[in-house]
Amino acid sequence: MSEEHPRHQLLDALTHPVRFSLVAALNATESVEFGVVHDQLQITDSVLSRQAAQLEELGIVAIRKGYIGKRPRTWLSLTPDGRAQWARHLAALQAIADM
Amino acid sequence: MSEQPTPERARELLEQAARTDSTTRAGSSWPQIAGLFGLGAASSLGLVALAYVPHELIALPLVLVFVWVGALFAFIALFSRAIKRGFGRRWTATILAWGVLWVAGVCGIYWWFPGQVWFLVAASTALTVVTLLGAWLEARG
Repeated sequence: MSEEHPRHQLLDALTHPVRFSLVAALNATESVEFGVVHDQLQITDSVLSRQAAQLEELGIVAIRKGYIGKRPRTWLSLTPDGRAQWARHLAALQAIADM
Repeated sequence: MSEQPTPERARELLEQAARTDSTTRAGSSWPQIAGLFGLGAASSLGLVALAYVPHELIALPLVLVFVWVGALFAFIALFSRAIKRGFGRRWTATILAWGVLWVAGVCGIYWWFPGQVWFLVAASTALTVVTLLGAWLEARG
C-alpha cells in the first residue's frame, strides 16, 4: 500500500496567502497587536480583520480586545491547537519540498 | 484544497514563512529588553547607594528602586506591542534570578557582610550580569 501524499496533510485554511503570512507572523510571538501585523503584512485593516476572524472561527487564532485609556487595542495570538496545525502544515510543505 | 504546491512552490512558501518569522521576532521585545536594562541599572546602583547612605536615609534607595522598577514593568505591560514566543519562560527565569540576587544583596549589605566592599562589588556585579544576560537572551530569542 502506497503512503499518502503529503499534500493531504496541508491545512486548507492556511493555503490562503494572507492567512499563511498571518499565521507565520503569529507563530513567532506569544501575542502581537493588530497594528503591528497590519504594518508588517502591508494589508488593509478590513482584510486583516476578515482573515483573522476566519482563523478564529477555526480555532487557530485567538483575538483579544482591550483598552489603554480610551484607545482600543486588539491582540492576536495563535491558540495551542493553531500552533500544532501550523507545525503540521509546515511539515507537509517540507515533505513536498523534499520530493 | 485551493492550492496543491509543487516542490518548488513548497520551498518558496517555507522560505516565506521563515522570513516572516524572522522579521516578526526582530521587531518584538524591545520594551522588555529596555526594561531589563533599566532593572539592572536601578537595582545594581540602588544596592551601592544602600551601602553608603546615612542610616536615616536607608529607605530612600529602596523606595527609588521600587518606583523605577514598578514604572518599568507598568510601561512594559501597557505599551509593548508584541511579545516574542518563549518570552514568559525567559522572563520568569530572569526575574527569579534577579529577585534571589536582590534579596541576597540587601540581606548581605545589612546583616551578613555589612561594610565589606568585596560583597557589594560581587552583589552589584551579579545583578548587572543577570539582567544583561536576560536582555541578551530576549534579544536573541
